[in-house]
Amino acid sequence: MRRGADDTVILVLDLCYRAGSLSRYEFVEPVAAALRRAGAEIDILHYRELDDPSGYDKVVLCGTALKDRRCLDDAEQLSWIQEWKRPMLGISTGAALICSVLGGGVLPGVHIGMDDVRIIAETRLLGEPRKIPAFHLHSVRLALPSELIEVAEKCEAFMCRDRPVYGLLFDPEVRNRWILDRFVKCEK
Amino acid sequence: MNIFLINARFAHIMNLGVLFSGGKDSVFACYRAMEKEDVKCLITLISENEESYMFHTPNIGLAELVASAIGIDILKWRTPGVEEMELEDLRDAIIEARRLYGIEGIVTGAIESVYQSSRIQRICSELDLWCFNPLWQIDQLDYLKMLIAHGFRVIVTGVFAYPLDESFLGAEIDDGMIAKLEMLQKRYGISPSGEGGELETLVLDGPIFRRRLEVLRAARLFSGNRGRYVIESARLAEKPGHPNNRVAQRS
Repeated sequence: MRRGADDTVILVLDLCYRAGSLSRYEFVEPVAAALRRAGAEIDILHYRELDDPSGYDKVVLCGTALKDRRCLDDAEQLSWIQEWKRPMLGISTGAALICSVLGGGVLPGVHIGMDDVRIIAETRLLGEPRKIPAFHLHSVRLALPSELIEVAEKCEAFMCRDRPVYGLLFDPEVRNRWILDRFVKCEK
Repeated sequence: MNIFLINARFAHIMNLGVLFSGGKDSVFACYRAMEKEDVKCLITLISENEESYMFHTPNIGLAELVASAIGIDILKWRTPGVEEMELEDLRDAIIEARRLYGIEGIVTGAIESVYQSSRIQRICSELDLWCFNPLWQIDQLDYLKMLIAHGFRVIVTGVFAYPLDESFLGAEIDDGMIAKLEMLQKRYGISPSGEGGELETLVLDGPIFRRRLEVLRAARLFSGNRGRYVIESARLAEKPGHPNNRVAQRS
């Protein structure tokens, strides 16, 4: 990890089926590029390569291909999510992983294409309640554990009750990069 | 699960089919797929509708020659190109590719088009296939530079928006053209890689090409703000380092 005294470094965690996979171009690189454009310093690691995330200030858990659920089978390797206190954002499969690790349910539910997301609770990440158009590419629906609050209808977005931990089932790197901007700018 | 089974699970190389036009996006997507997985076939839909929403049309007949240059089998599938019905044709083509080549997933060259990528994602989901879009959301100017840096030779075969003019037809994408496209992006908002349908391309050579294409005869047709570089004759030519080059010709 590269950092100076005042640098904030975001760990972008690749959850795809293999380190350096063909899916990385689609689910990791666009998120990393959007974070860099927002001024963030980032490291990209595959979840199987990660020993200890404690040196990072923020974490983004990326999405995966619709058929790719391998990281959910390997959730034990990511149990540190239970204790993570700093800002964290799960996208698509990354959101499902947070939900699963915190004891929630991950159920089948394919959602593909542009569709409105109805935000129902104000948060620092998504702002006030309203509808936003968003790109969906996921094969799950979530049953949230008590630790997580529904922020958008149908659990399309959630946050943790007592930690800056967010999940989005839709893909903010497509048409909603302002969300990644806000995540970069939110406090450590 | 023991360590052997875990390693086997992650080492599996997938058999893939690439939706293929012979243009830069499908060729570069194929290149990236070949680096990571096993590309078994290229799938080309030949649309009878020149305004097809989904499928590239200029010089689509040359896709077979490009496939031959790369050295991968091509499955050609005709479609009347009627919106939404052509998705059924695409689905049928993919089913046939799975039957013939045992593909486990599809690769596309989609960059920005939510319309295109969503529809292909749905077909793959319904058929229980993987779907890969290795150019998704890529910065378009960086991408054009990357094409050149990786050794691809790409020519413009169609322009479909002002202020792209006749001078682009048949011209090779190089640093000068990229600078011009960047300027046109700033001034007119065109998509520099043609993602908005502004331009179409054909790849003549690249690192995955065993042989390269040579254009022998072509005509420039330009009217209003639209133009085509119609390749009337082209052939495959040998490349140093790639023996086994029989000359094939299409006229």
